[in-house]
Amino acid sequence: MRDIMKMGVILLIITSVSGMVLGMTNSFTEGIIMERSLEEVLSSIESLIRDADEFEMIEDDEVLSRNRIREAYVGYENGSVAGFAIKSYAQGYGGEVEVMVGIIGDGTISGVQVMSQSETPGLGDKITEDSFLENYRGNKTAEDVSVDAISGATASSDAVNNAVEAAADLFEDILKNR
Amino acid sequence: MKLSKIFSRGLVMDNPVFIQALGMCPILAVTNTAFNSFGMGMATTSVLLGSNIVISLLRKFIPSKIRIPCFIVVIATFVTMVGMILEAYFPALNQALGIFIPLIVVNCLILGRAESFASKNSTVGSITDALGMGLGFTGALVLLGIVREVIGFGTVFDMQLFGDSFEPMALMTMAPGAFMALGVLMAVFNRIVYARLK
Amino acid sequence: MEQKLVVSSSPHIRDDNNVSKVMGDVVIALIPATLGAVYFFRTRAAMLILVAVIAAVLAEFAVQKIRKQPVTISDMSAVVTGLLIALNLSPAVSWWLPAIGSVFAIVVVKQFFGGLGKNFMNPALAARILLTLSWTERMTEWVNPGVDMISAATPLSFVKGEVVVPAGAPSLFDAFIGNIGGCMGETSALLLLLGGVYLLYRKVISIHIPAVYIGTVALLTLLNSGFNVDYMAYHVVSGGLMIGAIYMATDYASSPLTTKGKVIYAIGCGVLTATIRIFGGYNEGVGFSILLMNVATPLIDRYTVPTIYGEVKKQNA
Repeated sequence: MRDIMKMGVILLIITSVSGMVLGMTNSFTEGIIMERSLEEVLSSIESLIRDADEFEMIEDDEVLSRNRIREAYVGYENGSVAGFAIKSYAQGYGGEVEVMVGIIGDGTISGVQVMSQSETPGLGDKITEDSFLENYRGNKTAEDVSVDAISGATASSDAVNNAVEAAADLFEDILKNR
Repeated sequence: MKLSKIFSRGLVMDNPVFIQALGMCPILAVTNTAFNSFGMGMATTSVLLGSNIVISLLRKFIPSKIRIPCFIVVIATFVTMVGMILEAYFPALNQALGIFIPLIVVNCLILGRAESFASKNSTVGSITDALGMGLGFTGALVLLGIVREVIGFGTVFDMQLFGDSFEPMALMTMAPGAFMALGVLMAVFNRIVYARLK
Repeated sequence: MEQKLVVSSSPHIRDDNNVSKVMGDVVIALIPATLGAVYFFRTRAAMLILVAVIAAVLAEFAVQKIRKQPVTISDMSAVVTGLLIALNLSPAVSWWLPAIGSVFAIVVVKQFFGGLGKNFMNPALAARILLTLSWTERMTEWVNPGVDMISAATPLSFVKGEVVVPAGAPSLFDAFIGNIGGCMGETSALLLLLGGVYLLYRKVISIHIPAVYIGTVALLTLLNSGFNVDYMAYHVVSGGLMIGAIYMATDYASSPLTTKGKVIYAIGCGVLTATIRIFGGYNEGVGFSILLMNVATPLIDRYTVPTIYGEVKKQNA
């Protein structure tokens, strides 16, 4: 009995110390991680809605509860809406593919950026290359926004197509009328 | 045992990858480029170093009946710390290594060293052992990473090696390529290095 | 042929006496398809075939020299591997693809595992899969027969996702004689069958694997299309089914020993091929199917090889 108590106490001490150490590390790195991911999103939005000088996150449930939509931002130029940046996702070949889609004016895609992906290196990860992503630029959200798949990487290309379509649909259904 | 012997054992004679074949999961999964391999090797080495130090310090305090849970808690703590630090300061590497950072916790190399070395030896010896094993692991990973990156991407540490006419062999960046490259390297290592040292 | 042998548990004595005779027969059987490839795709095909064969033979020679083993290139097995690799390529590929394929097949798949008779999968097919996964674009760039190399789609891409043969697809007759886009040696079902009949006549292969394999694919495509015979025939004569079923699935070292095992193996190949063609992402599934069943061969053998007379069947073997 005493043996078990002793072992329990030792384990308790070790786990408490480890918890404390982790807590300290977390409080130290948390801010940096947050800042970095914010910066990443901001620089992506800025490059997608070039004209905007002010950004706002859309916190509308009707928008965020939609299928394949993760986040949405609106950019203002001198107080009036300049465009939207929509973070959407779809299932790829190696996991989730997350993209940021910029839509300006009355529904023109200003650009698509891949935020995170885990596709096959050398094949599926070609979806992050400009030569593929620039095909979206200029497509109208009212029409079919998909582009031709990269040969050998159909599943990955389809994931980007699906995510961009979800963003375009969101714009057509809701955001356009704001 | 002499410290230099402890160190060189991990590096060559008992190399965790080529001789002991430990921690195969990250070895095969993240060695598609030399840089990823280096990152993985360094992350594993720092966890190994931390856990070996703490466990050798606590070796008289931890009752042998509950030593495995204690080791795991210590290892998991270091792995989580390394994960947080990578996410904060090396986001690109963190993204590339992904799930394999938290999975360092189940790398049998680390628990193996804790059980068979750190829990029985002095702290200085354990540090030497961690460095030898860790660098042996890193070196093997980087070697594998270089081979796979050169053939699979035509680059090494992201530097272009060949002209535009070179078309890399994509299979080398995938799992089958990892198995094949590891097998060949293992054979070469055993044939040349190990046989000569014996 | 090997069915006449009594199959016992290991150790087996490996009898390589007539390897070169068997391999010579395979080369003879492949001559019609090779000539067909040269006829349909001209000098380009001839060049690629030469590169593949020479690379395979040189690779075998080099490995055996380096490992100080007796050099066995005269047994023709490397020639067969090289020839099969070339016939599995599009005539539009660059010369280095067959070279890499041959070296990989001989060095990695064949010699690393102990050489002739000990390879765990068909070397030529493994090379094809390596090339397809590595250089997908080049390996799926098809051209129409003729000198001008007009790019084309393979017949299988026309029926992909369909249950009938759509209008605009090459005619069934063209697909049968080989006047279509595709791999050099795959296109002509007629010439491959001709070689197959010769192999059967010479008792180099038994009928079980090719017949059951092709039959299974035929049955499943027939079911999938709701008994559309055109669609079924299209699947049977186009793509790599003929060359795979006759020349590659029948590889001695990587297919089961007994008739029962062969039938199970061939059904497995057929089901996988049809599944990949109908539901998978690729148009063609013969290569993957045969390789997967190659790997399953030891398991099939384990359950189908009969116990020797007088030996008690083990309970939990």
